Amino acid sequence: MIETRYLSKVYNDLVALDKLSLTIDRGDIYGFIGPNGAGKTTTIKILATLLRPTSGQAFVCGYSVNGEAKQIRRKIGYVPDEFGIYEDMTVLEYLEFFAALYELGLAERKRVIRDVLELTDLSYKENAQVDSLSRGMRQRLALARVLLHDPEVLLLDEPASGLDPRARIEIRELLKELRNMGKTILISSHILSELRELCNKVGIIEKGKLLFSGPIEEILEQVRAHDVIQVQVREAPEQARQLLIDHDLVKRAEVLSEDGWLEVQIDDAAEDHSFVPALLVEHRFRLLRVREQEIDLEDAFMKVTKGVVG
Amino acid sequence: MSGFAFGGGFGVPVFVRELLAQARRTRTYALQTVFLGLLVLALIPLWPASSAASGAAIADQGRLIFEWGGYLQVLLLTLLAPAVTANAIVEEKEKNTLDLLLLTSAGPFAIVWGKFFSRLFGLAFLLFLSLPILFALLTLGGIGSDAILVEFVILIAYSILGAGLGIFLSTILPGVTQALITGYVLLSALLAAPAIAIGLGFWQTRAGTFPLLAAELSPLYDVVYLFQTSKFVATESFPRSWWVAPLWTSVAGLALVMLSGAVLPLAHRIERALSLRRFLDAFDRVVFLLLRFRWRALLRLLRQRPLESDDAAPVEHRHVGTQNPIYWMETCVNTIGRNRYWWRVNLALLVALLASYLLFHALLPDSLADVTLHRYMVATLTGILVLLSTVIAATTVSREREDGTLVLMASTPLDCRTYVQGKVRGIARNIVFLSALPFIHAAIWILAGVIHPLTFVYLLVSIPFAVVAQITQGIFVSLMQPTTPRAIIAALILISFQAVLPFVCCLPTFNLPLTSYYLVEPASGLGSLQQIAGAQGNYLAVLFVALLFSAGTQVGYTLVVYSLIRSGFDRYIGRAY
Ligand SMILES: Nc1ncnc2c1ncn2[C@@H]1O[C@H](COP(=O)(O)OP(=O)(O)OP(=O)(O)O)[C@@H](O)[C@H]1O
Ligand SMILES: [Mg+2]
Repeated sequence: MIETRYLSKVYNDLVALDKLSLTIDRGDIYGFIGPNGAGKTTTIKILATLLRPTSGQAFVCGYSVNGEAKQIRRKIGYVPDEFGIYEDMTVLEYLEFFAALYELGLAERKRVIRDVLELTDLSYKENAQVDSLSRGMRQRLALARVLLHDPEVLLLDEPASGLDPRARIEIRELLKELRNMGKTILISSHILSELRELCNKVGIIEKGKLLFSGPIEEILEQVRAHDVIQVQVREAPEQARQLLIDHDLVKRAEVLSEDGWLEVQIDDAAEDHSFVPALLVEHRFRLLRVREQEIDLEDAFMKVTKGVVG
Repeated sequence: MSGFAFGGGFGVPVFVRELLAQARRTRTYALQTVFLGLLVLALIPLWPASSAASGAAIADQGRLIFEWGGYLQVLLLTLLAPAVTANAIVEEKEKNTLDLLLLTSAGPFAIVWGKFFSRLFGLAFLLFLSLPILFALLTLGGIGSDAILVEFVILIAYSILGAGLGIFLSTILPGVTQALITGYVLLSALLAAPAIAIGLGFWQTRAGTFPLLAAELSPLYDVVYLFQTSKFVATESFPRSWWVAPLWTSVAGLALVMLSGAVLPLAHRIERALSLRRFLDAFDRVVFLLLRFRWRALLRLLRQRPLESDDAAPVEHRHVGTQNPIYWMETCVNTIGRNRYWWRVNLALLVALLASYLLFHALLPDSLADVTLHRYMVATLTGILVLLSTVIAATTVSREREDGTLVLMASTPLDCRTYVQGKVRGIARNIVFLSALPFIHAAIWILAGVIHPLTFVYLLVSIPFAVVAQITQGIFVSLMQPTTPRAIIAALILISFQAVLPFVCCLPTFNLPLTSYYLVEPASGLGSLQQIAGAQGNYLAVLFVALLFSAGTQVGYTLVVYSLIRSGFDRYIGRAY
């Protein structure tokens, strides 16, 4: 649905995007993560045909941004990182205005507006002035606006920035609904935890370079420390530690807590970590649980941007 | 006290900050170039050809150049002084940095003085730039260096007034546009005050002379006084009281800055008190009471407090329907279209027009029967129309850009034709009553048998095309300029340029007021047309050709401007392609 090839953007002498190549398939929810100034907005603007790339290619729904911008505009819904203020316009008027810009017929307009208002839970605000809405409501209204023409692709630039936790959750639930409707969504953010639940793919960008792009499990897999596991024994963790440390394939073992958790680092020579529980059981330790080290997107992000993973 | 009033060392830190900010802007240099360019351009036709014979003729020519250069500089200062000061405080208010500034140790006076001096410095610098040109005139003879210095003092003092007024308006008014327009109106009123007073017969003077008060009041007339001294005081050859106008204008300018400093801490409150909405609200009530006098309604109105009535206003949904959405936006939501009171403003204009007849009748009993007055009236009405349509159009796109709504539109499939058509039609509809005023005036006086019915035909053909051309031009300027003040200034420069076109080449059609002046005909016969056509000429044929030419050039100009808009439309609204 979205594809970029060696996409570059140079402002004067600042390289904002450096040969960015990424692929987003139909139905993907792609989380675009990066620190401030990484080039997220630049990428999204190029895809929304609002900015011309210095070099490289980008395709949205099979149309090239170089030359088929018109077709792209009908297929996408773009939410910029700032909400444009309309004075003296009600929610309903706002939506009607944009529906008219998208050239929807009168009957269709009415139906669609009712639908998007319902979807975004704004029906009760339809007569409110747009500039009187709270930030969260404005974001929902912005989403309602881009859903009017039933676009295949949504380009959302930090839709949850500046929102309180409750509003963020509301937006997230809304985006989940859109995901279930089969939209392809590119969403940029620096709040990683919310992408974890929402996205099936992520791209990590820093200083204009794409450091990682792919399924979310894959990046978690990549940064996951395979050689560290944690085990919990019912009693005598200290003895268990002694036992493990004496094993050839164990590099390190530590007691983590009172309730019997141990962290075990395994030598690279080991095929996998299955020998650890086996060993403990063999020596009559009562094994409660085995788990791989917890790792989340935040750690992955830190590791990737620090160059831990290539 | 005075130490406090002047703030920390006349606001030097603010001054330096502002000056540095200005130096970094290309606008500053563009303005200087435009100023000098216009000055030189306007003076070139007057410059004596090298073959010109007698020294006396050359000296006369030098004097003439100097004189007209002086008028032009007064006019350019009138244009520039509000333009460079209007955003000074408004900007801080809008960005909410005013409170931060006020919290610093600098204090309100340092802020206004710093801003004032940096602006004044810019204007004075422009005047200095023009000095070499003026001194070059010395070589032609005919004027002395003392005249140059006097003129310079008059201009500097006028800049002080202009900049001081601009700062003051920027302090008390809520928006750049309001500050700008109020500034223009007040300065123009000051310059033209003697002309108005004489024209209305308040000052009785012998033909071709002026009262000294005119020169003391208006800097423009002070320049006239400098060159045509004997028309003011018959016994003087060099103006003895030239210093009155510079003295009071500079003192008034400084006083206005002082006043701005005093009210700066209250800026937000004053701004609210002066907001247009309040004023129109009050106007609305008066009209309402006059139109539909009912006790219960009156009581209800009196019990309501202004702001409450605004909140409680029932929401009436304005359907976009099958209209062009841009047209809908322009007529239902934007600036004037949004203004529910606009028709009442129009009503007030009509009343003012009719009242002016009474005034003329009272002051100059025979003038209403004289076609000259009607020439002036129609020219003034069309002038207002041209000015307003351009300025309204010039603010429309940059406003959207500043509000961040343009980018939303840019990401939709909206095309150039829908956009421009919607804007032109919308703005035209908003000022339709204003456009009707010249017709109303003409119709009344045609019926009264003072002006010729053909005048109506002329207006019918020329006004609609001219209005559309002006609006299109305003939209173009607005698309090209990133901010509202810049768009307004660019539009005004463009209009001024078009206004002088008839004088330098044969393009009178671009100056609607001027053509209106000439083509309003006396009922007794076709005056100026007959002159153009010559004694035996067929003036109906001349009229026909003139109308065709007028309409043709306006249509052609509109098409050219539109194609310019179309060729860069995507770029202007912030699309890549
Ligand atoms: N119009 C411009 N002119 C010059 N440089 C620009 C322009 N727009 C963006 N940049 C630069 O390009 C780089 C990328 O900016 P971009 O807005 O894409 O970052 P971002 O990832 O969206 O950041 P944020 O998280 O803060 O929104 C930044 O270094 C920025 O300073
Ligand atoms: Mg951004």
